[in-house]
Amino acid sequence: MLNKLLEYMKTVLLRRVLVQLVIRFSISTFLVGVSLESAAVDDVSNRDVDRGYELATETDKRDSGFGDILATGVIINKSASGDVNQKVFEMITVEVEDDGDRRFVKVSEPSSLRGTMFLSHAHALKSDDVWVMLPRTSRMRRVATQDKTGRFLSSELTLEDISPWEIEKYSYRYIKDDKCGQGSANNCHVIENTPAYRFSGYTRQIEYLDSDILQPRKIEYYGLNGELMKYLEFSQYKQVGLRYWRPMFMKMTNVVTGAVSEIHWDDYKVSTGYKAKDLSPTNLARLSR
Amino acid sequence: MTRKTYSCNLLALSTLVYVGMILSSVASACDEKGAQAGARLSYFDQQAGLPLQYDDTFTANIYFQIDCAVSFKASSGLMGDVYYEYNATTSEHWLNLFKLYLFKDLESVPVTFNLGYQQKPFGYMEAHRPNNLFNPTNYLDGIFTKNTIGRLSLGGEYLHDNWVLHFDLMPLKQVDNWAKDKARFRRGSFVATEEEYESDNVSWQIRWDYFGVNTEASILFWEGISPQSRVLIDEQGPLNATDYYPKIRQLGVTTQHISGAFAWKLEAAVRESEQLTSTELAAGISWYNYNVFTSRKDATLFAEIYYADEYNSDSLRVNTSFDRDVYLGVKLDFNDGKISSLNTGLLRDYEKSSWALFTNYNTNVTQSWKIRAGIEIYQPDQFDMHMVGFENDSRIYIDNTWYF
Repeated sequence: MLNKLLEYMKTVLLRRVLVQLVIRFSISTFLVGVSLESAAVDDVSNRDVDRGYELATETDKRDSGFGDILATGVIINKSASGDVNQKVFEMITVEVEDDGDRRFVKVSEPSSLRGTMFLSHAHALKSDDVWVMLPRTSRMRRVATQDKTGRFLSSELTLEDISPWEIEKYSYRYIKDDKCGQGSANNCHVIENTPAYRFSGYTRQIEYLDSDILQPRKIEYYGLNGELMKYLEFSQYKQVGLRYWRPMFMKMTNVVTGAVSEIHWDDYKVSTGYKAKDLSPTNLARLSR
Repeated sequence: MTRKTYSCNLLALSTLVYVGMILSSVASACDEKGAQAGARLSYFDQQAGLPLQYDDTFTANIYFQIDCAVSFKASSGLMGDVYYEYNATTSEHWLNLFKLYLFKDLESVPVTFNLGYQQKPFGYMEAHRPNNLFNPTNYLDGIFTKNTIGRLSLGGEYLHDNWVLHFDLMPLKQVDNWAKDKARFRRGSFVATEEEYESDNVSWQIRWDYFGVNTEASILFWEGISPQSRVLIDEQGPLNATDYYPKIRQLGVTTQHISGAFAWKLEAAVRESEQLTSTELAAGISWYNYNVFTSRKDATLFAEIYYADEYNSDSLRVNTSFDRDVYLGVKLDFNDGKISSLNTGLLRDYEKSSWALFTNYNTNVTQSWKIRAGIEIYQPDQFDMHMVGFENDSRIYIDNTWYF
């Protein structure tokens, strides 16, 4: 009787052990499978991130070394109700090593805004330093721009949109290669840019980067609610200073309000001799002349 | 209005047109130029109450402004910005050489020399800047005005990477500008029949401006004629007074620190003259808000507090401006196609309970026609030196400016 009982227990225990082994093996196999699949996905994801960063680095490399660029811009703002206004300005951008570029904007039209000036020192992850001078004040005011969503000349472009691009400002994820837009003859890399800056007005941007000239053809801006807010199109690219591609026309369309801002660029000049220290608040009296 | 007054106004208007034509001709020589003409119509709540003041409640002012920049060479030139205003109601007029100076930038060293009428604003506060001595204030447009007078100076600036050192020698006595006898805005219940300036007219200043990453600061030392007068009442009668401009020495400092969406500001001044010693302190904060309530409007909020003590040679405290005051203000930029904005400010002396309020709305009707409409309310106390005399000057106004 005792022997039978022992035999029974051995059989049951053996079965249980076997069942446990099978279950554990199955779970292990499943987990290994899942982790292998997950690793494969991560690998693809990492590859997309690497590819996105690689494209950003290549873009930066190709666009570096210009020293300074001068240009004249005409911005035309069109509201959905049909109101149109126009402003003319000169822009100087000076390249700065190890920090963001410096930019100076001086408005020449309309007459009521003539003499309005903006000076900005861009930084990758910190607030830009921005000074503003209003007409007939002779006083350059430093303004707090932690939130870069302030408007540029009352247009659909914000201070964030016109702030010089720096690699560190975003993380990048390559999505696919595609046409640069409906009916476009150009091929683009489509990249998702996620702002690394804490106070950005956007959750992400989808950029169509021209695969030949490595310049943006279109950027879609997604607001803090995740919805598409507006998109900026770049066209009529010309090479200035022999190697730097610059658009002669930009158009920002606000899909929420229907308002549009167009910028017509002209008279690009490269390497005119401006240095970083020339675009500083101490030099403003000279710049404003 | 009498026939004579009409004739005077007609003559003045013809003169203005003629002056305008001459200025236009001058402008044609400029490399960069601009001009504006405007008319400001004010309706006052009450008739003017001060002796000799014109008693009409309605005032019309017309003005011209022309600016011009001429480059002689890349590093030298002439900057001009000249303003003329005529009060059609009282026939008083005023010319302001806001800017009219020659400049020369040296090539070998970062130094600029300037000679002529210039603007050198000092400080970050909105309602009052205790050290803003270089450019006297033009109060023809009320106490909330930001209009200043060009200062004649021979000066130099040394430009470093993040600081600037200024030195200025100022040969003329130049002081705050108020309306003359008949017009508004005029101070106090007296008529200054005399002006008196202490010792020589020459003033000088040395100033250092620093621009750090998030902090800016300026230090000033000034010695010369004060732009603000001390009113000496004639013992023969209260209507006779002398504007007395003492020689002062002033040491001032101001700073602004940017932190997040805020700008923190401080300003201090110590002033002494033969008759008075004063200390002024001001602290303020500006809060920048973009896309208010998810709209496209930007709002900046200001809060400032002022404290000042002034003592005479007998060590007795005397009344002074901005001695125990607070200022609250809002600037709303609509970011629309018409560049519209709304400004509001409340100034209150919390010791004497006097207060003043302003609101104005600015918008461009067309690209070359701008309108500013506003209201100002004054509730002064007779001992509030900044507001006394404005008891009857609460007004609404509309200001049209045309740009050419």
